[in-house]
Amino acid sequence: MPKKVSELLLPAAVILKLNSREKSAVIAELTAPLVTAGLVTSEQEFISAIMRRENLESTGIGFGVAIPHARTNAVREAVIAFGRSETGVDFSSLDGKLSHLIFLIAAPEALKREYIWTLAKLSSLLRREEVRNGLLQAGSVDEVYAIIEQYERL
Amino acid sequence: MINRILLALSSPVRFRPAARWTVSLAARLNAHLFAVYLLPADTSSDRTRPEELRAGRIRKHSSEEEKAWQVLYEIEDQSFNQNVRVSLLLETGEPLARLAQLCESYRIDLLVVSAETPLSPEYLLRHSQKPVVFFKTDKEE
Repeated sequence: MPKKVSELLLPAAVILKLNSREKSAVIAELTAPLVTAGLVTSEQEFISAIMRRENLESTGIGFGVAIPHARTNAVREAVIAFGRSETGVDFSSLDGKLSHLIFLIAAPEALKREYIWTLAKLSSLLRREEVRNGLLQAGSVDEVYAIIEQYERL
Repeated sequence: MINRILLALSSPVRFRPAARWTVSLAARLNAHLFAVYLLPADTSSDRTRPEELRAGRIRKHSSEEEKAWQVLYEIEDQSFNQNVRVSLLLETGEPLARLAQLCESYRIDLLVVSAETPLSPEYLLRHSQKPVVFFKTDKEE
């Protein structure tokens, strides 16, 4: 059974106010805590894998949400980082909206099934307006967890 | 000239042959692939229904959505491996109307429809402004 989103989310990688405003800088800001935690072994290789995908497609799924992701051997174990942007970041969403909620997913190359499952679970959760509003208003890391756990149980 | 291909799916069953064929075609043509999963309309937020019925509908709809996203992300993974530019869309509502809107909005040149969808081939062939490929599969691999 794949891990839940709330189990994969790293508390140290929950950033309630992102400093960066541009896509590649936001990705670097979200990657930094994963490197510090030793879950991403090569920052350069991981960011390069993420950017290769970003150059090929949009990971903005609409409704102000983006899920940049990569599966690469530069990742030791699957993990999620979350950042919230007040100004919004351009992830080239098809709906044309800037992304305010950004979830970055990192997974080892071998974990294809779990990776796709996590992407699907997170995308499905974030299509719910109540979840998005809750995350936009969350005042602490604990509140972010509480919202995700609440809707994961449904 | 085919620059934009739309692949329409509406079932997590037997979608892989159609997906693989379409991704390969997009790779050969260097085309932008729009992978669209069509879901029935979400009625889970209908507040006129009793609470327990709504909760059941939310669970059912969430589960269908998750399966749909799994299909889309599997296609995304294949596309990424073949350097195909891909956009994923999960759409709800009346499938024919949504398809027509998407084809127009994204200026689609070729529509690929999995035979597993509830869309009528006759209707689509008669009304589509663009070439349509119906992908029939008898069994999942």
